[in-house]
Amino acid sequence: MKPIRILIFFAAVASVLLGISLLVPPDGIRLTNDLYLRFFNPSAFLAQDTIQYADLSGLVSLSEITSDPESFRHSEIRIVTDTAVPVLSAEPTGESPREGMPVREEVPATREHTPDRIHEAGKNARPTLPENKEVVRILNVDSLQQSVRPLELTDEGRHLLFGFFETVDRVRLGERDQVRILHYGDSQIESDRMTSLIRHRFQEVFGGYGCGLVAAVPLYAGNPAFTARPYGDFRRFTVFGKRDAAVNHNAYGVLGCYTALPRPEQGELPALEYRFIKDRQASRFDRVKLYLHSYAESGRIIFRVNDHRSDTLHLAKGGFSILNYTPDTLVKKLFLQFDLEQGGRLYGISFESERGIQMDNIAMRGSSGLVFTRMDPKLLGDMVADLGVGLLILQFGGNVVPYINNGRYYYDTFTREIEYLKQVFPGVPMIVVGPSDMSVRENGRYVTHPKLVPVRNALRQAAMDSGLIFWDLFEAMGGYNSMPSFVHSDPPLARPDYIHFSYGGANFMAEMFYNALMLEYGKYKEGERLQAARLSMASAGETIANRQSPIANRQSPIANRQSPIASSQCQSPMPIANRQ
Amino acid sequence: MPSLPDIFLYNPEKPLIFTQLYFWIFYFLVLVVYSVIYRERALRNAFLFAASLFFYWKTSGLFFLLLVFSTVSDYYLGNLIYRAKHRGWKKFGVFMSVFINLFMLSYFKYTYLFVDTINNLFNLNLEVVNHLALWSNQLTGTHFDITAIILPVGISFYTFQTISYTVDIYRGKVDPVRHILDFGFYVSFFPQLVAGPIVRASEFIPQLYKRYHLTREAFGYALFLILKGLFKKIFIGDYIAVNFIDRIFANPVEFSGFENLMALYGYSLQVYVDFSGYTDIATGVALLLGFRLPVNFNSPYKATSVANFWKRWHISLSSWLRDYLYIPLGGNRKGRIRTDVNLMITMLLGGLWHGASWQFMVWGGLNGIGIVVYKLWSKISPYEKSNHWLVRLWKIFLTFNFITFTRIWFRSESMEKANQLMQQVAHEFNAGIIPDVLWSYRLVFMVMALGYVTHWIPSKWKLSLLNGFIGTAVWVKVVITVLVVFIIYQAYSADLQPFIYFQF
Repeated sequence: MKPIRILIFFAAVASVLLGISLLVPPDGIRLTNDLYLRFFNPSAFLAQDTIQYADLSGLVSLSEITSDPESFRHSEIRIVTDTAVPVLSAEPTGESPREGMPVREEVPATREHTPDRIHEAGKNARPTLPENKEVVRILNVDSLQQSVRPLELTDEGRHLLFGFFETVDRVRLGERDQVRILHYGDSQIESDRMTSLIRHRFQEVFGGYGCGLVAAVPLYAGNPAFTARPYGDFRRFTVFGKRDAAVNHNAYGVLGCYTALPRPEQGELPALEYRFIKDRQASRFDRVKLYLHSYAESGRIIFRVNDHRSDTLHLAKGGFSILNYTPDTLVKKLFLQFDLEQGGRLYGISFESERGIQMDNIAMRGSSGLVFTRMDPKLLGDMVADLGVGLLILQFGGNVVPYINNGRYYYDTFTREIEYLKQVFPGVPMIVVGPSDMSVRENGRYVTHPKLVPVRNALRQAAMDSGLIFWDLFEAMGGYNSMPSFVHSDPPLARPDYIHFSYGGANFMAEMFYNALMLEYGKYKEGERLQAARLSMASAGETIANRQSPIANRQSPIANRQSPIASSQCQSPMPIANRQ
Repeated sequence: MPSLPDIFLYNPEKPLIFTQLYFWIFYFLVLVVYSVIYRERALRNAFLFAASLFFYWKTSGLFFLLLVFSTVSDYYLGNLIYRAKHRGWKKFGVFMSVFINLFMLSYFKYTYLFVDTINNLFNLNLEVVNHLALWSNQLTGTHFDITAIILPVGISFYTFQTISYTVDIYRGKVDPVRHILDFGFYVSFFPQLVAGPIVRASEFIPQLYKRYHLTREAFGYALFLILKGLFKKIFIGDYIAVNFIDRIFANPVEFSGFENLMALYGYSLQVYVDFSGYTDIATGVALLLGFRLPVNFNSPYKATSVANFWKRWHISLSSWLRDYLYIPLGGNRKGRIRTDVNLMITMLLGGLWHGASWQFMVWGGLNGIGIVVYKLWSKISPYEKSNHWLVRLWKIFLTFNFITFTRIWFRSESMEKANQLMQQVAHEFNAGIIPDVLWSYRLVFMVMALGYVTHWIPSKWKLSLLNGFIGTAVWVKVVITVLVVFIIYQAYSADLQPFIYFQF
């Protein structure tokens, strides 16, 4: 057979295929709701080059890419509070500034604090505040302004956020013990993704350690700070996702899920074992808090630490309780035995430091953030009253993208959720983080889902109209068609589902978010400095002509705040510690 | 419309791979010229050499210079070995050839592994520097990145191919190629350049001097192979990878043990359809140009032992390792223990050839252990010589599951991920969600079932299908080709399977 005949054969096949391609419409022939017959479109093929994946080179130069936020350690955390350039940062060991990074420089400081040499300190290390350190390394506000996707703030949002900054400063200075950030989100933040980096950065600068509030039995991998192993039938129930029809109440607690505590059987106490990963900031803690509900009027929980020490906390009554346990050693392994005659519910366990910042990763797999109104306000109030929440981050949207027809519906329903959260968390600033880019396949190429921007817009509008703060994760990533660039980058910043970040990608974006927050913190500090200068001038006899800084006389809305729901309903009994 | 530079310049986003339209346009144009010059043997070979270099340029950019270097050095070393009167010069020639090829392969493929291992062992912080790029930058003012070493496409294949050439000359099995262009054509022949099969000089070089000859049956066979390969690669392999397997291997801990297990079985199929599909296309494309490539796969999951598997899987590599590594090590001529040691060395290095990480060593090592253990077991097994269908079925089942088990390390990006997958299967199996998973990913599982069923059906059925296709009229072949392409396109353009959660 001569090659020319093969050529003719291929030409014949190509001609027929071309004919078919002209017959099949560009969007395909619809067979069923979600099944289409598609075929190659010559014009689309020739126009393919118009699909450009986002260029990440500029972004990558701005931020560290690490799969583990604790993978590099800061030699020392230094903070300046009285300088012309007021933003705080921490200095990675031996790192030299790179082009495109926010400028970091050493500035002589008049007053500085070193909150915590967290990695060297042993158990019960507390923030120490020595004076007179010589130099400090800082982020430059101007550089951040140009390089970071900033937060979009309403006046109310800014006011509340500055209140949060005031609170964290008080925590840093030791004037307040603790403040907590709740990071709600969907599967994009599962396994502590994004949260871990933001928490790490906050804790480095403002003090604190521990992974915060977690579900008693995490979903699969759960939390990189520890592994959990149940002994007994500990079942997990969630307000999000597929709800169990047998659950006839809505008491889920702030995590949106609880773990059913089984009854003891034949003298065997059901137990949970936690093994904490060595040498991690997130796996160190001073105290364990249990938020639980007992069906019986009494009960006890046995805490066995590192296989030798055993302490028992007794419940004074049935219903909701908060147990507070303070081990006096570095915990590597914690074995909890539950002796609850009728069983109960465990709404969460917090592994936290007594002082500093706590940040909780609350990943609601498959959720669009429309579940808060389905949660029992009384229980929420009880927990919120104890937690001392200073900031709420709501990162949703991705799960609604494939199914939404109407952005307005999402706007309305999400607005309702916000209003509810405002009642539960009065005066707490809320940052809504929009969905990340996600791709659909179009002629074999990956492009931004057509519904993504409407969803982002709905969330942004809901946040703005409700006086909240918005951070546009989609634009921060690079906007249209940035997800394929994340997936194809080396190392990959996103997973091959073209939806979820890899650990590296999550940290990469979390660093950007943290920088955006720090940019606002810088503005807050600048305002504070100007205010101090004015006061100083006034005390020197100068007249300040009827000008008041918006920050002046501001009262932190978080300080001494009590949730109206919480104040009337919190009835936590005092647990009785009984060391054996 | 692609511009002229688009057509001729290297664009890493548009490599000439079999699954892209660009390749088929390229192939069509090659056929246009080929149909005019195919009778002129020297011109034909020179043209195919030039076309192959262009193919490699479009696929790998300036790395085609490496291919040229390999061609030139092995051509002259081959001549030196052949012409040298003294045995010492012959040895020197073959040593230089093996050294240069393995050095090139090691530099581009194993530098990172080597540096990481040294760093881990001695707690150092050495960094990789691309000295080739540095040298080029200093000498010619180029601006190559010196902080990264990129692995040139196909280097693992063509270095082994050229080693076989010089060693075969040394062993007197083959005479040197007469002209460097012919040799260049042998080294770079584009259908098998990127992913094999590894073609021996003794098999391929005689074809260089033969006239073009293709029967009607051979045409039908080549076309069948191409369509089969495209179907396996795109319809089965790519579809199940994108919509299921890749997601789970990216982060095993976020999925149940059942999903992890299904991803593992899926991967076992994917790696087969992907690789054998590519080989099928390569063989078909080469055959239409009049060149026969060796058989590389023979229903490997019908193997009854691990040793038998390696006689059916990537045959051109396993026979290369046998002839150029296992036998020179002593093969089975130096006692039982040495035989086993030689087997283990061959399998460990064979594992490392597949990729520069310790996971591949584990994979190779496990295969080696599988062969050695089976060798011992077969001596005492009462069923070894049984032909009962149940015994055969059990052996196939066991071998397939063992090979699938070893794929954990072949596929996992790190040891940690491999451990995670096993942990999930062992401790988080979550059988309660099986119906949900099967239903929600029904399309993926149907495609997987199709892949396995078509693999395991009797060979004679497949042969009947092949013969039936070959016997059809040309217009029927046109219709079938169009239909198959249309079906494949449905998988290629299908929407991504939405992300589904079964546990909250």
